[in-house]
This record gives sequence, structure tokens and C-alpha cells, in this order.
Amino acid sequence: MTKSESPASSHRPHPIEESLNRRNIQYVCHMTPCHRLPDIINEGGLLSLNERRNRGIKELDSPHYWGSVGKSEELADYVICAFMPPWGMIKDHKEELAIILLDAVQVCCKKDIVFCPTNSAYNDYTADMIKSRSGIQHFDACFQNPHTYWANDSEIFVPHQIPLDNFRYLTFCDEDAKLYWTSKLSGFSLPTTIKDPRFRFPPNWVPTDRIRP
Amino acid sequence: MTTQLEVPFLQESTEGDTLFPQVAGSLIGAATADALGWITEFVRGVEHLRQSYNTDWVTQYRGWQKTVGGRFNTYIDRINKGDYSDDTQLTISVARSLKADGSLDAAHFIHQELPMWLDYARGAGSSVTAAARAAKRKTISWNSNFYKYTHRGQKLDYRDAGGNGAAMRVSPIALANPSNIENLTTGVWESSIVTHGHPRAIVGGLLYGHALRLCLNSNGAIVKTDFIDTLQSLVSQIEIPQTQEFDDWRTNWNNSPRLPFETLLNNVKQEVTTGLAKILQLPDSFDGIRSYMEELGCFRPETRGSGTATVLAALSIFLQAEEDVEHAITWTINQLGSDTDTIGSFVGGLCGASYGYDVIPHQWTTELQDYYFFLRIATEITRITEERGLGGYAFLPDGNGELATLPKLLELLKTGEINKGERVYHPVLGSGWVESVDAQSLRRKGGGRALLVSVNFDMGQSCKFKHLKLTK
Repeated sequence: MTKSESPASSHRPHPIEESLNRRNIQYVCHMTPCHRLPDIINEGGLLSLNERRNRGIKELDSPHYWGSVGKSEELADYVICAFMPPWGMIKDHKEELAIILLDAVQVCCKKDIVFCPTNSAYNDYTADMIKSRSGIQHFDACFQNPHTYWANDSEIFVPHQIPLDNFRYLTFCDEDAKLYWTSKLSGFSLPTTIKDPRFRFPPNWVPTDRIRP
Repeated sequence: MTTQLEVPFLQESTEGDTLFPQVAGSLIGAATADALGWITEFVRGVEHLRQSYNTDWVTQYRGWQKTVGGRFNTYIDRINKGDYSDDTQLTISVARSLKADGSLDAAHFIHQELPMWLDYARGAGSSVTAAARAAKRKTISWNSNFYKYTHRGQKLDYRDAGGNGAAMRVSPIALANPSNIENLTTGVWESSIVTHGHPRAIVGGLLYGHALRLCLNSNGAIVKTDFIDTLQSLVSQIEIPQTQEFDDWRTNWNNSPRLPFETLLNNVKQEVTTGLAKILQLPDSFDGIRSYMEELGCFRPETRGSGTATVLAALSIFLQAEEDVEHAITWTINQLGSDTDTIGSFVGGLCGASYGYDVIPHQWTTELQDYYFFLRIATEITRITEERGLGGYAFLPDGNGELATLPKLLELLKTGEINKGERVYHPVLGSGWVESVDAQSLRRKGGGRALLVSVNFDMGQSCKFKHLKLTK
């Protein structure tokens, strides 16, 4: 984390950090197919679509549903995260999934980060509208009320990349996926389970297509 | 490139880590059984079941149709596979009425949840519906919602309302208070008397609530005799809470030419203590439970919805079932003629609270309406048990955010100008999008129209709203 990104270093906490503390939010999350994890680690973090293109990373799939044609290109400079795991999305996934838990303060206080108070695929907000939603007012608009952690399907749009030092935990969809994929991430150590039930995968969900190179 | 990072150690397991699967299991077990049992609730017998669903034994969700609105305002509610009924809807409302310390915000329940629930209620009984209508009166508080209603052609009073409508929704209070008997007891009393005045409803709620608490604390090892003994002891100690609000309620209750509340309460306590003792004498089979349910009046139209009989029946099934939850629930929902959805919901709730969500069959949870929402509610209830929760405030919109400027759902329903895909806002449920709009002509002299609007709320709950427009 660079000095400009470090809210803790200033005298008064960043307003978003204050809001996160008030809401008792320690982590935000990013859901990804497990087969992407080795690339994520090797590239030093989560990358936006444009960053991946710039580095010549082959796209295996398009995990995010955008709601309208062209929106993925318009928002190609962002990595998308969420305050609450987007469980509704997993119904459309058959492959093994993981949730990366990220340090909420480090992620949400980044320069040029923007927030969408609903799932962007609902199309309440155009890409241009989303890009203009920076700052504490738009951050707070993601939540049901001023004190809660409950953010429905609000989304966080992080510009360009989220480095590995923002990562805190990995949680896998099941034990089988955890055993296999942690073995593919040798040299990278993160706790791979999390006690906070908010980020546990729903107990009924199992992958039906284990993509393993 | 590989990277070695310094990371924090895993925290020690907390109480909530253990409780979450049980809290989620109870909510989801109850909701799945409610959804299954709702299918058979109105089936008159095996022949009717065969004609309706081409089976002798229901084991799966089915889409079905329900004729609602009575003789004059008849319309069809198309119920999807996995849809739950009013039992679960009001359980969610109670969850939203919890305070951060696990006590009940009865004022929120009576002034917000209950009257607004009428707009999207599915399968509600006569007393709860009458109570919700009565709750719209401006001068009413949670301890003064006395009302009149009609059931099976009989004109009745709030004091006669002894059905299981109170018990069916208390689980969030119990699940949030596994170690706080006072909070649980007071919360169940408060929640119950908002809609039901007869001690049979209140004692039924307390019996189910305390049974859930015992299940949560059992770690899956229920000893039948201890379980029943403890419940008998708890029932014998039931008294009206000692507060001014309850004193006022009792005075109001007893201002009626009938037996005093305390006398009726003692009679019901005796009834329940005897009923609990009989559970211990039942033969080790479901056939024995069928006889017990007959004895309790679970198949007689006038008593099938009793607040105490249905909970006693559920306790007997739960204790027989042990961990075979699938069989316990399917057996329950196929006891045609009984209150299948509510007894099933009690059984599913008790089993889930004892053994956790893994014992709820996955083929049921995957198709349950709002499944992921139940997981999120369970998360907040678990946080309450760890004294770091917000209660219902965790998911209630404050009405000031920018999404509150979306078109007002309740106004759109009145005008009828509402379309599929539209984003809308509701004062309790917050923002959401319209999944479907179904306009039906009413089968009444003079005509009219029923507008049925399904809304998926961002909060995670889905509701089907109804608005009737009668032709003058």
C-alpha cells in the first residue's frame, strides 16, 4: 500500500474508514473461479480486464454478468468486489469457486474507487454513472442504513488492480476444492478458511464441473 | 512469481461458529417444511391428493394453484415450487423486529411489519389476518390489539384466538436467545399477544420457543426424558410477565364476561403438561404418533390449528425422528387433514436447531424461495448471540438513502401502473425489482381486477403483492 493510500497514516481517519469501523466491516470480498487463482497469485493480485489484456493473460471465461451489452468494456478498468458475498450469482456457476477476502480499509479507501448501491447488472446505473460515484456519500449509499454492514448486492469498483498484500483469507466452495487448489498455490500462504459465517459458501451448493488443468 | 505473505492467524472458534449451522438449519428446516406442507394443507384425503398431484405421498416441491379471495373476490395465486407460506413470511417479520440484544421491538412488529404484511400475505389464517387489519388502527399498541373476527362462520374475539399463528413465527426470538431465558420468554409473550389472546396460542409459542432453545444447547444429543422434563418444568412456571404493559393488557383482557385469563392459562398449562407426559409413553413408531395426533385433535377441523396441539404433535415427531429429518418432515406433511405446513415447520425448525443445516436435504434447500436470504438472517441472529449484532436494524432500510427515491411500490399498486423489470421501493423491504405482473379479472358480480405483482427485494426476500380493484 502506498502512502497516499494509507488512511491510517493521517491524523484523522479517512471518512470511509470511519464508516467501515462504525459498521464493523473488516473484509470485502471477490468471488472467482478457482482455476483463476494461480494466475491471480502469479500476477501479484486481482487485475481489471484491461490490466489482464495489457499483460496478455488469456481469458478463459467471463465470470461476471453485466446486464447490458458493452458495459463490460466500459468498466474494463475495474476489479469488482462486494461487501456481502453474491450468493445469488453462484446458481449460474458450475465450476469450483473461491472467495477472496480483502482488507476492507485498504480496498475501500483507494484513490478513484467507485461504488454502486445495487448489483450493476440491474442497470439502475449506467457505466458513466458508476464511474462518477466516488467518495463517502456514495460509499454510504451502498448500505441499508447508517450503521449496518448489510449492503444487499452493492458493488465496489476498484481501479486497475488489488495487490496481494490486501488479501486476508481465501475460502473455498468445498473441502475438495480447497485441498486441490491450495496445493497449486505453493509459496503463497493465506489462511484458507474463515470463521465469519457471512463468507461461508451455502451448504447446499456443490460444483459440478471441476476445471483442473 | 510466487509470493510469501505474512498473514494473521486464524481466530479461535467462537460461540457463533458453532451456532450458525444450527440457527441456519432451524430457519431453513422450518421454511422447507412449510413450503412442502403448504402443498398438502388443503388436501382432503389420499384420493384428493392423487387427483391433484398424481401421487400418494408428497416428497418434493410442486408448483400449484390456490384459489383465494373468498366467494366474491376470487382469484388464482400461482404458487411456485419451493414457495413458502405466511408462517415463514411472519417469521422473517419477527426477525426484522429483533433488537440488537435479542429482545423484541414489538412496536416495530405491530406498526410496520404486521400491517404491511397484509399486502403480500400468502395463506394466512383468519385470526392473524384480523389482527393485522386491526393493527392499522392509529391508537393501537402491541399490548392493546384487541379485535373481533369470524372463523368457520363463528363470530369470535381476540381472546378466543388460540391457534398456532403465534408459535409459527417465534423462532427468531428463540434462536437469538439460546442463553437468555428472560429475553426469550418476554419476547414470545410480546410477539404472541399482538395477534393472539387465548393462552393456548401463547403457551404454544412459549413451548416451541423453549424447545428450540433446548435444541440449540443440546449439541445434537437430545435425551428424550430430560427434554420433556425440562419443558414440563418450564410450562409449569409460565406466568404473565410483571410489567406495566402486561398488567394493562391483563386488565383489558379480563374486562370481558368470560373466565379470567389466569384461570384459562392454568387450564392450558395442565393440558400441555399432560400432553408432554404422554409423549414419553408413546410407542417407538410413527403409527403411535398418528394416534397421539388424533387424540390431540390435530385432524378435527375445529382444533387442527390449536397452538398447543400442533406444537405437542411436532415435539413427538421430532423426538421420534432423531436425525432422519427427511423422513420426519415428509411423514408430517403427509398427515392429510392436519395443519401440515405449520406442524412441518415446527418439526423442521426443531431438527435444524438440533442437528444443523446439513441434515436438511439439499434437494429441498436448493429450490427453497429466498434460500440465500435465510443464510443472511441466520448470520445476523448468530451475531446477536455473540453480542455483536444489530438485530432487524441490520437489514431495515432507513428510508433516506437514494434508493428511497425509486417509485413507491405501494402507490404503483394502487394505480396499477407497474411493469415487469421496474425498480421499486417499499418502506420496510427497501429497493427491489418487479419480476412479474399478473392481472386477473375477479369472479364477482360487477367485476373488478386483482393485480398480483412479484417483487424481488435487494434485501433478499421475494414477495407477491396483491391489490384488488373493485368496479363500482
